[in-house]
Amino acid sequence: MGRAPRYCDRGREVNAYDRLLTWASELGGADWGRWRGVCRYLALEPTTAACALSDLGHVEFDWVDNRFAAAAPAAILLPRSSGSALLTGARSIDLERQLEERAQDFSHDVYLHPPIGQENGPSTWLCEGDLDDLPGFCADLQIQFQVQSGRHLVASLPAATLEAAAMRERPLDRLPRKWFDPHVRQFKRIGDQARDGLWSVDEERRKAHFVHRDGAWYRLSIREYGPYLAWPQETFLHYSTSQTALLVDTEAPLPPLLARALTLQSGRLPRRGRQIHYLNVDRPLAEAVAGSLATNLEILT
Amino acid sequence: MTPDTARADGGAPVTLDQWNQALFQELLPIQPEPERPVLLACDDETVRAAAKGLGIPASDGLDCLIQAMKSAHGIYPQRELGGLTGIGGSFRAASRPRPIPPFFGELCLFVLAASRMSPEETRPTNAYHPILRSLLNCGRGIGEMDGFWYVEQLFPMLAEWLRVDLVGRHGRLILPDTPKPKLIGWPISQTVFRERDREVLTSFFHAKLRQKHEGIDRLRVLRRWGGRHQLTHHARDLLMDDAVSDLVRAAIDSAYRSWDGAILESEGRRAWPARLRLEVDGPRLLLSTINGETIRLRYGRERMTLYAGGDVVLPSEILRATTDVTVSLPIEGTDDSVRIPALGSTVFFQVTHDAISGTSGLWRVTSLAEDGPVWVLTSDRDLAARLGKDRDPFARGLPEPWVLLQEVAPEDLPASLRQPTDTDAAPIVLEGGLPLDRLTYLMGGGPDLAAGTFDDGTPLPVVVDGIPIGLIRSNGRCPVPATKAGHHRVVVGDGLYIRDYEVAEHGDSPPAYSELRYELDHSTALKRGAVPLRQGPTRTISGALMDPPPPLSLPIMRSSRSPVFTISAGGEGHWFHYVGRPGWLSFAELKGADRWEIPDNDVAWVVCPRNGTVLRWRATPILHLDEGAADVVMQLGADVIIDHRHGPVDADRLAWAALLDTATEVAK
Repeated sequence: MGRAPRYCDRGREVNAYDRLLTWASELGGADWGRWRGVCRYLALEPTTAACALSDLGHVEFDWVDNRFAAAAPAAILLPRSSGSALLTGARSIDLERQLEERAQDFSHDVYLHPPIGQENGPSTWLCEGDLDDLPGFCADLQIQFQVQSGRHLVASLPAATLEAAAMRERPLDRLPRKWFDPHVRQFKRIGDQARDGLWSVDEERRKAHFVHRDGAWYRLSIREYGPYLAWPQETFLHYSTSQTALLVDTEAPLPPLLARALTLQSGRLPRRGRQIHYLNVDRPLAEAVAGSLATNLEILT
Repeated sequence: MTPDTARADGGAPVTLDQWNQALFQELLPIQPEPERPVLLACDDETVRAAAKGLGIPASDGLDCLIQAMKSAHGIYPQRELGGLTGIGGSFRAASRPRPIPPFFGELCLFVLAASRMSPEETRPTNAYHPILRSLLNCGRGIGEMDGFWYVEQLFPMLAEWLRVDLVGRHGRLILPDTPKPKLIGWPISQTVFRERDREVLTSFFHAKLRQKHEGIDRLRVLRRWGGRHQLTHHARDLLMDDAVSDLVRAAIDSAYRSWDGAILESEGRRAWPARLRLEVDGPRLLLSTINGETIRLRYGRERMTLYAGGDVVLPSEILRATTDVTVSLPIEGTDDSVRIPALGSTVFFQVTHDAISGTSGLWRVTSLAEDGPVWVLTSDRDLAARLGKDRDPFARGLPEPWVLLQEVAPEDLPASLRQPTDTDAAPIVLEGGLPLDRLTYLMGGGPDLAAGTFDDGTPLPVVVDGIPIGLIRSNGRCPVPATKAGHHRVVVGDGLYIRDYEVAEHGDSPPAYSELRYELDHSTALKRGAVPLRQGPTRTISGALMDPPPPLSLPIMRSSRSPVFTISAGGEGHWFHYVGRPGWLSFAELKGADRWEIPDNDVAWVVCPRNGTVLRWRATPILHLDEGAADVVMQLGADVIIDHRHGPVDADRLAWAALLDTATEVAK
């Protein structure tokens, strides 16, 4: 897929992700086929776009019934943000118009920041204001206002165990499979087809992930749990005190809800390089994420 | 099975009224707009289609219709069509609106007889009546059939019924002012295409209109189709004559309506196009076609039973047989066959939804969708080596040197293989855009016109709302503007394709949001994505919103960078120091934001000794202070600047005085 085309709409530069979000918000929801069709039109990779909009709290996906639905508009107060709330959820054209009008009528001490673009997702909308005024401003616009959503989300999630995140199921012996080598952080073919650890199995339609432990096989529905459940003693998470950021190894990306919890700390998609950088994460939250995954957290000073 | 009881479900014989109804629906359905020109273009294919609708085997349809007609209207050799005058007279006298004319079936049969005439017939009258007599089993009479003269009343009667009783909803019947030859000119006027043309038309439909295409002018597509030269002279001349374009268009539409998906061959043989599906487990190649009933196929010595809507496993050797040539599998008991096209040395399969069978699977494709992997069945060793480098090609059960390569990214294929090999792509369609509804697009998200292969390669002009916007080439695309809300019309190739579409500033009504949520207390919370909203005592999250919402605990924002001392309702003091602008704000390119925050842990007072300001954050009486807090309060003393938040400012002064008294007590 090519780089998302930029497009000028009402004097503001928007990218393909913004247009996708506006479309999804105007529609409310539909099936995956329509999502894929619009992504193709906008030159976006459908699954990547879905993950970006899901991590940012704009759109939810039902992967079993192949549907999507825009989440209700929400304002989430960001920590260490000068009192700024992230505007997420559905972003309809009417809402944008009302936001601009209301922010200019001086009935509330609230300032609407210009949208901040990002390359692989829709622009970030923030409103900053007197915290005595912000909830009322949101209520007038019928936007729900919440605080510390990410932190509460992490606290609400059940701990990741094989019982909670996987089902007892044995992969078909005849299908090719690869074992995840935790030292080189890669899947590779090995002779022992029942070694404990994480396995990737080439099924008919897609690769499936299984964990083998103590003679039992477990199928993972959400593959991101795999490295953490298979290798609890390994360190995939690192906390940078100086950057106030959680760094995740690229071979072990976070499961969707934990990724969302951290993304909602800044409203920005993580920066991706050799590691995945989640911004504006304090140490207690990083520890809570590691605790939720029952994994190690390395503290970098 | 005898024709007069020929009903698949074994029910009562089909009456002429039922036949009239079925033929009427087949030939003259409700039109998109009233008074649209139509023909009563009945032929063998129409009767087959109507018979199917009545539950009668298609091959028995015509005999059954004639039997019903003879029973109802007393048609026999001695009388021939003598009873028609009475039937027509009764219909004319009946009160309006009248039901379908009772002679509708006869008119259809008259036209069908005309369609069986050779187009090069020099003495039409002499040719027509023997055909009609033979159809009606009325012996070998000479000359015009008795009672046939009444057709000159019946056709205008039908046209008047369509126009007046049905107010033109089913179209306006095109009739000649003075039919030539005098009487048989009436049924002949309804036929544009003869038997030979119908065979050619099925090839045209299969090549260009296999899927339902809306907005397409089939006449213009046929005019541009490379295979049109196989039509008879008679049909070709009419096809290119603008003066009779309404007539020809109506005839094509009528033929298309009764097309059952098969390609007609000479002497009434039908070739059913095969559709191929791949099952990776095996791997196995499965064949299906559009058979409405169970058929038995033969391939060499092998017999295969193909149930309606089902599929059969093909022997893998068929891959060799179909590499260069089309292979026909005869259908036992008929002259028909199922035809597998020449597949070449590489066959592609992609996960697609098959609209005909309603199933998703790995269907054979001839043009690749860009957004999904492709399964490649190939005997091309070079290609297999190139694509199979990082994978294990399946060869089990396949004839040498065929292999199956799974999940190849389309972009990994050589460019020459990525080109569409099928010219059956829709001639022109509207696709893409930001659709809110069918043919309704969000402003700024207009669709694209996408063209299939143009046989003559000539680019076509594209006009929107009367303004030319460009040209569209064979297999090309052309964006359609959607910058203005309202109704728009795009016209391609001077009317080859006409489509209306809407542009909307926003969706119809405020949509329901948060219909999908994660159920955090459910046992599948970590096993699947969001699920449809259900009622129940469970914690959920949709987007960023928790339900029930967490407690709203807001921090205290400070603009001044001076250190701050807070005193909680319990009298405990804490210092807070500005530690600089958070680094992430720069990463996030958030400009201007320069306040810092301190947590509101039941804070009652916010004190800034450096500025001499105090802020009563919460109107809570403080009965005790710890030593640190008492020290700070004592140092500030009574002469402070009150930062007022809410309530009467005097109350804040009194509260500070009381706090000072408490601090003094602690100091003592």
